[in-house]
Amino acid sequence: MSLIVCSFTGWVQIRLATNADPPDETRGLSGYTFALPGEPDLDRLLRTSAPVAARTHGPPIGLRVHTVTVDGVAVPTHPLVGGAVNLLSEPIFESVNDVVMAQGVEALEPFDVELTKDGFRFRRRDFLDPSRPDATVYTVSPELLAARRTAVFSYTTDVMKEALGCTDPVAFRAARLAQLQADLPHAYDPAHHAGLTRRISELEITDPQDHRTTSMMFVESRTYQLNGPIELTDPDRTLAGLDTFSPCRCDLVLGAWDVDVLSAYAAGTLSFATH
Amino acid sequence: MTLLTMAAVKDPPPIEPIRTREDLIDALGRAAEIEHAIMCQYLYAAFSLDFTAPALSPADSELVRGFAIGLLLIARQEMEHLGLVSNMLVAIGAPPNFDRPNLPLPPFYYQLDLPLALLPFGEPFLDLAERLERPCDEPPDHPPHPYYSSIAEIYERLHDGFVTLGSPGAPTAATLFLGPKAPQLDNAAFGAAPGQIWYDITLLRVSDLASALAAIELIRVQGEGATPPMAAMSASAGPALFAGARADTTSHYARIITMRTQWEAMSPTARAAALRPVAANPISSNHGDVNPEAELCLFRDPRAVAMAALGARAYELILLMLSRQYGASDATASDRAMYQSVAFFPLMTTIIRPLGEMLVQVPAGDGVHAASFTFELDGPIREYRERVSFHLQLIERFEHLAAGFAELAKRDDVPPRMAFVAKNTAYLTERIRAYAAANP
Repeated sequence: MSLIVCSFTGWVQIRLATNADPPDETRGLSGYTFALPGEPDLDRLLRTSAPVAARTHGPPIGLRVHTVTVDGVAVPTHPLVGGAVNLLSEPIFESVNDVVMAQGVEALEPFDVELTKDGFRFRRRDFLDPSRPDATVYTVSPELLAARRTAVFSYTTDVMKEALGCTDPVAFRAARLAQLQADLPHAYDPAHHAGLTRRISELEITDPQDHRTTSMMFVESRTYQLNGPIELTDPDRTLAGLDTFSPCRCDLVLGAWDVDVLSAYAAGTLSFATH
Repeated sequence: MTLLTMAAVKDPPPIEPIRTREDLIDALGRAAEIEHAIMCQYLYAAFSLDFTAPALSPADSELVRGFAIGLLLIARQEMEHLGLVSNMLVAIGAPPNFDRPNLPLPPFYYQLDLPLALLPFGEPFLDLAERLERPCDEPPDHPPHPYYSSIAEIYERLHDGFVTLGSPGAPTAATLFLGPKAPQLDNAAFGAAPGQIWYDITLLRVSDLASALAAIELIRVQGEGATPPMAAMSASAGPALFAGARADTTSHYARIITMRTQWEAMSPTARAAALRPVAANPISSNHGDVNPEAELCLFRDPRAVAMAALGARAYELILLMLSRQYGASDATASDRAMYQSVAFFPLMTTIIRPLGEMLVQVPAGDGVHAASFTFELDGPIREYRERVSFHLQLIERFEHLAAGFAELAKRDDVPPRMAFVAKNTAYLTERIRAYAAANP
C-alpha cells in the first residue's frame, strides 16, 4: 500500500452575499460583498477557474499542485506536479443563513474534485448520502449533514501570511484603497466608475474590529472523504493500483478572504491510496 | 398637517426626572418600544427603494443602494439598541419588553413630539428621521421639557435616572441591579469578542452602573454622533456636541443628513425611478391602536393581504422567542440557543427580509400603490412561561406559516422567491419539532 499526496494552493473566486443579507440576495445590501454595476448577480458559487467579472487588483484564479509526496517523501519530478485542481458541479456554501447549518461550519456542496494534468484526469465527488446521490442539504438527515460536513472555523493570520506575505488586514485594505483611489480618475466608463466608488467606500471602513477587516483572518478547514464513483483517465498509469474501494481524502483550507475582489486563498491536499 | 403643527397643538406637563426603580422600568419600557418602532420605520423606508431600477444611471443606482445600505445598517443598530435596553431592563430586575403598539402613532404617544409612522423614503421620512436622531443641543442641566424632541433626550433622562439611583451613596445603589446574572444577549452570545463589531452591531452586557451608562453612551454615539463622556460634559458642551455629531459621518444623524443632501442633488427623474410606489402606513387589517387621524393604506389585493398577514406572524414569532431569551425563565440554556439560532438569521434574513422585498412587487389593491411589509402586531407580545407548552405552540405557529407560504408559492402571480421562503420555513418547522422531541 502506498500513499500519494498532492498538495495544492491558489485562489478561488466566491461571489456570495454575506450576512446580514439573505443567502439569495443577488446584488448585496446588508453584508460586505456586492455585485457591482455591470457585473452579473451574485450566485454564491465557488469558482476555481474561469472567474466571472474578475475585478482589478485581484489575484489570478486557479489551484495548482505544487508538491507531490509518495509515502511522505517529496517527488519533485512527479508527473502530477503542476496539475490543476478544480471543484466541479458549482459548489456553494450551504448554511442558508443558519437554516440548515451553522454559519462558518456550513457545507460546501456539492464537493466534486477534479485533478488534471496533460492527458491525466481524476474526478471524484463526496456525496452527502452515497445511498441517495441526489440528496441536498435540505433533504439529507441533519445527523448525516453534521457528521459529514464538519469544518473547523478559526481566526488567524497564518493563511493570510502564506497567501499575501502580510498579516495586517488593515494595512492590506489601505493599500488596496490607495490603488483604487488612483484608478478612479481614469475610470471613464460610468459603470466602472460607480463600481470603483462602491469598492472605495467599503475599503474606507478601516475599523480593525469590523467584519470587513476581520474576515481576512477567517480560516475554514475542511476534510472530505470522497465517496463517489471514480472517473479516471490515466494513460501513463500515474495512479497505477489506485484503491477504488476506499474513499480518497481531500483537505481544504480557505482563508485570506479578500472581500473587495471576492476571492479567497485555498490550500489543500488530495490523497490517493494505491496498491 | 405638518409635524410642527401637530406638535404645537399639544400642551403636556414637563417630564419629571426618574426617581425610583419603577420610573426607570417604565422609561426603559417606553424606550424599548420606541427603538422597536424606529427600527420598523428604517426597514420600511429601505424596502421602498429600488436601486436596480433600469432608469437609474450607474452612479445614481449606487447612490440609492447606499441609501438602502445606510437604512438597513441603522435598522440593525436600532435592533441593537432594543437589545441593549432589554439588557438594562433585565439587569434591574424587570422583564424585557418586545411589545409595541401598531404604527402609525399620534404625536406625544411617548411624550415624543413626533408622530411615529411607516413612511417610504423621501422628504417626509427624512424630516422625521432627522428630528428623531437629532443630537441634544442643550446643556445637560437644562430644565425639563414637556416633551422629548429627539431620541437623544430620552437617553439623557435615562442616563440621569441611572446616575440618581445607582451612584455610590444613593440609597438604592446597592440594590438597583437585581438581575445582573439573568440571561442577556451580548457579543459573546454570537461568538464575537467584547469589542468586535459584527454586522455593525455591538451588544454589551449590563450588570452595574458603569455598564448601564456605557450602553446608553453607545446608543447615543451611534444615534446622535460622537459625544464626549457625558459625565464630563460641561454646561457649554451642548452646541459643541451638536457640531461634533454633524462632523461624525457614521452616526445615524449624520447619515440621514448626508442622505438628504444626496437625495436633493438627484434629478427628479432619478428620484422618481428610485422609489417604489409604496404608500405610507400600510395595514392588512384594521387595528384599534393606530393613529385615527393618519392616512392609512388598507391592502385589498388578496396576495398582499395574505403575504402581509404571514409576514406579521413571522415577525411576531421572532418577538415571542426573544421575550423568552432575555431574563429569568424556565428556558434552558439549550432552549435559548435554539431560540437564538432560529430568531436571528433564519427568521430575520431568510423570511422577513425576502417577504419585505417581495411585498413591494405586489399591488396593494388600491389601484395606486404597491404593498409593503406592515409590521403589524395582532395582539400584545406575551411572555410564555412554560417551555414545553411554548415549544408546542412554536411548532403550531411554524406549521401554519409553512402551510401558508407553501400555498402562496403555488401561485404564479406571486414572486418565485416565495418558494425559497416556503422551503426554509418548512425546514425550520422540522428543526424545531426535532428539537422539542429531543428536549422534552
